[in-house]
Amino acid sequence: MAECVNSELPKQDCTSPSPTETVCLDSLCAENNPGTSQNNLNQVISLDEDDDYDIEAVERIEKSNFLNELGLIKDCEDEDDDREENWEDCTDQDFSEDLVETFDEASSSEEISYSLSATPRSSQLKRSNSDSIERILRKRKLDVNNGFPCKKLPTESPTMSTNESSTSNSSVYSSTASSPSLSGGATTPGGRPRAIIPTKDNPPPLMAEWLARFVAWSNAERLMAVNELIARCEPTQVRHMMQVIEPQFQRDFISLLPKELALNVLAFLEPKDLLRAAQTCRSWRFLAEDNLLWKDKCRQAGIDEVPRKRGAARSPGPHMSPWKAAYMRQHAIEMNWRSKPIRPPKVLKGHDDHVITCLQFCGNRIVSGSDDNTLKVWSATTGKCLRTLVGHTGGVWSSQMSGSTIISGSTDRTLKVWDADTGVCIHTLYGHTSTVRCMHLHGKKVVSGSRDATLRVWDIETGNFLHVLVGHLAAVRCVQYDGRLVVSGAYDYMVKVWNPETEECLHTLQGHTNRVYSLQFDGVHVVSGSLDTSIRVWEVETGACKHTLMGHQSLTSGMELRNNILVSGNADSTVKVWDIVTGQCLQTLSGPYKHHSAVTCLQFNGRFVITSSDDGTVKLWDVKTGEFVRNLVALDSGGAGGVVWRIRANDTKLVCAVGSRNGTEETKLLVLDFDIDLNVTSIVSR
Amino acid sequence: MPNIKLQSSDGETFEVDVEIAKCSVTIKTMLEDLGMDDEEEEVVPLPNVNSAILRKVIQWATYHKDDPPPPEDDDNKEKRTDDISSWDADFLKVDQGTLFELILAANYLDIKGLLDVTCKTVANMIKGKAPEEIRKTFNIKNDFTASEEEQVRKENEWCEEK
Repeated sequence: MAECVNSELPKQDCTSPSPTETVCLDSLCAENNPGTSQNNLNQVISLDEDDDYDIEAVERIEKSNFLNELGLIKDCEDEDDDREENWEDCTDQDFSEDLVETFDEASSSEEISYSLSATPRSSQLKRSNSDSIERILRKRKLDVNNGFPCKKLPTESPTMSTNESSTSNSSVYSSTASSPSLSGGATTPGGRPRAIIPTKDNPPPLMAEWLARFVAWSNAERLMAVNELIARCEPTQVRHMMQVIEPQFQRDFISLLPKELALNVLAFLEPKDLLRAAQTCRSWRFLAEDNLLWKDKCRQAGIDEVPRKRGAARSPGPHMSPWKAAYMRQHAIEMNWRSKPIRPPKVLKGHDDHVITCLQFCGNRIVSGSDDNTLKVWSATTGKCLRTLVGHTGGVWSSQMSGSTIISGSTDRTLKVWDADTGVCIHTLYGHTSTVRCMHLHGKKVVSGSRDATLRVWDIETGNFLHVLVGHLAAVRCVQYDGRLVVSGAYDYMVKVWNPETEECLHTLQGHTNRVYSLQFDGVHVVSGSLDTSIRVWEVETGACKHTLMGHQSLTSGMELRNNILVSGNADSTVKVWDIVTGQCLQTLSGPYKHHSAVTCLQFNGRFVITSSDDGTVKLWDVKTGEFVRNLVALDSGGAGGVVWRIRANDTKLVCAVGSRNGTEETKLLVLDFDIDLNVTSIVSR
Repeated sequence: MPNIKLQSSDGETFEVDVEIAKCSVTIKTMLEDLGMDDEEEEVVPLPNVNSAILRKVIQWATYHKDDPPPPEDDDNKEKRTDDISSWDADFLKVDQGTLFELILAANYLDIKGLLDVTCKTVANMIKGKAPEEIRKTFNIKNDFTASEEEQVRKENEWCEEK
């Protein structure tokens, strides 16, 4: 018998009662013992849960159709909506138990209701199976209108309607007498007496009158009645009330608010939460996909543009917002930098066992300058050496690159201007009387600094010498040029600010007590790093020293300044992050994973600092927290002579110039790729 | 301070200090456009706000009457949601239906501060939750098909560290 129940009832879960509802009539016919019927209900419900998925799918369709019918979807503020929510709300076993309990009580009052029985049975006997669809619709409407959850209940329980042995069928049946409109399910098509389990169509005796009386009361009276009712309820019944009531106070804000307000809410979410929100349901997905929303997220993350030619073909989903795709791509790349396994680097061998002194990387082009008197032009994608620039008669110690123009400075006292595509030397710039140790290109003008203590300004298109800046007393070691002013640092401990056009020294910035090795200049601030261990921040207009940044213990060899954040690499093997406006040291990149010897080079963006060192490693740090992320490169020869001299990185690639002083490591470039394109599947179809 | 009468959609009239009422740009504009005179016993009808919500809005505006004007949105800045004052947090300890209507009212009345704080409150209810938890929180039905759900899951996968 139980098997019969199990096989039939789940299918006719009450959202889709079918004309076959009489099928199992006999199965429960003996079930007028409430204890046993409860048992069966439980079985039915647990089976529902086992068979969860299909039923829910069917329910969704059903509900959707149904709501469409009633036009409720658009009008969710309607009271009906609340009820509709109720309609969803009895997946819980508690409910069925409660119901059975209620039923028990109801059956005890059957004697009373019996006397009220007056419904003409004949009208119900006329019912035919052809009525049943209409009946179903009507019934469901009633479910909604009554605000009474019914979904999971084995409501129809036509199976129960026959052969009520101990209780009086007619008495139960009679309970519907006062509300003929609800009597549709009171008897089966066969005219058999109604079931004992109360349903919408088969309410407990006198319920309609009870409700009618309630409805007739004033608000205050109703509130009092509700209080009294609750006071008389079992805890399980109160819990059931809560489950019915709670959803009425829930609101699907994102789906129900006007679009711009929903987006206003979503704008407060971080990308991670937006992605989760998109997985909630269709309307949330649609809104969480909003292109302008993601444009803001991109802007906040410093992503200024959608990668155009690449984006379209590689965007992970057909309907994904381009800005979202850009964000996701950049996040995936960040994860590649931070934590994904590092792919084996391309190895670009060249310059024999000489030192790579300077490195440029732009687009697909890498240029390495060496003390072997040459520069080499490499393809970053293929790793091939495209050109070797031969012509200097001394080591190359400085270089600049813009487009396909390369400029190099050498111990041979000249600068050379090269065409990277053809490898041809376009100009040789004569004038310095000693090594050209540093240079800075802006537009078509390059400013060179020399061991001869002068700076010279050149036009790289014509090869003309334009200006000479005289005033330093020792070798010029570093130079910055923003198109307006030239700033130079020298071994005479001075930093000078020049007007190149007038060849006038505007300010001499005095304060360092040893050689100046590194400079940054953003048009407002001059930052100088010295062997005296300090870093000084100067105002270019007044020449005043705003801050002296103390903390390093040795020579500051390299610095980078972006948006008032300065990162400095020091021979003391640490790296520091500073706020140059406040003069505060924000982070010191050290700790157990710190470099073991001098920091040789660094680069940073909004998220990371990449540092290279004499210890043969390249390390990645989180710029905000100062935490060590991981080693990007660790030469086997590290600690035994292997050195990373120079690094250059863009968003997706890292180029390292490595070698050794003692022959333990061959001189070469390593190119590491962190783009997602190679493992594009990680986003699309992992 | 002169008072003004605001009438809710269900006909209840609230007498409010004009300056407090003017934190609603909608009311402020209405008064300016209509050139309402302080002397007159005019009633401003607010047909989109019921009395329960209007009472809350007035309570909020009264508490915040001396606040500096809210700063313009900076789209370049990440929007914070952890800066809700404790008074606002208490004030917004209401059921979702009320919060929902407060958002609509703040929008209709054009009260940026209230709109921001109510939207933030909803955002905080979403933050850090898995999709299923979000559904539970707002009584949302998962209407994805199985294959859609899989697709959406893939599209919205967040690469976590390690």
